[in-house]
Amino acid sequence: MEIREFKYPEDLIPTRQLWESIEKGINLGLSDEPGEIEKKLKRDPDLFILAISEGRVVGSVIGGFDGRRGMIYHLAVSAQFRHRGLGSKLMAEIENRLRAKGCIRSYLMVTRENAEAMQFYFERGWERMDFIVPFAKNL
Amino acid sequence: MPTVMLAEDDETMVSLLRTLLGMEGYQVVALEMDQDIFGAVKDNRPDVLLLDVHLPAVNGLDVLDQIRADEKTREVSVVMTSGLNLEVECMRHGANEFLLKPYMPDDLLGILKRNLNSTARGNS
Repeated sequence: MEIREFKYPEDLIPTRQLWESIEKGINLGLSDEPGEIEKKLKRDPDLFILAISEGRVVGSVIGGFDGRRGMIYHLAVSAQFRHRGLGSKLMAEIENRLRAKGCIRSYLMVTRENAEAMQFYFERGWERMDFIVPFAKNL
Repeated sequence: MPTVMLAEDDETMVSLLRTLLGMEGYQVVALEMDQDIFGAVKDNRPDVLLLDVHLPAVNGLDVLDQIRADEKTREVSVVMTSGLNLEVECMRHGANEFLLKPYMPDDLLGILKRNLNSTARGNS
């Protein structure tokens, strides 16, 4: 299993296929269009991580750091590769990379119905923030 | 210019495949998801049909059965794709190839090349 940074554009097709295959928790939107991915990679090429097995994309995670807080997006592991520690490996990798940039606290979002994902994050030291209501706006 | 017909429900994926295949010299015909795939294959006779097993309105294997049962379309090369490993089932229904998602662009290009070569041999 290889953990490496996203290669543009050759990883676009398999990574989108991976995200589409995830049953719940990944809602593809404007930020997942190729042009937006290219923009993200120009800013943080080292925070877009893939897991590769036998030449196939089987996992992903994306990080962001604005100088104050980190954010983690699109942790995904192909169904055939779950329960082998790959999600933990990807999370450890992105957390280490954020930490190396000076990030001291990070957020991530989980859809309400995704109890399995919540349990996964609890077990890795993440806290639920019930006092916050997320807001969003297209700019 | 060889023609590849796409039966794919994700518009972004269609756009990505159109760009990739266009750069490699293929003519791409992307079907609308409310379009009759079998009818389009019969009318256009593409060199290769890239057909997802799981489409919103239709089962790709049923379409493949239709294609193989009709003498006007049975020679069309069909590459089936899925996120599930359905290779055995697809080949049993008469697919030329099965491509497990997620696949790398080179995997798709290799399969297309192989199938176009075999089509050319079959026509000679």
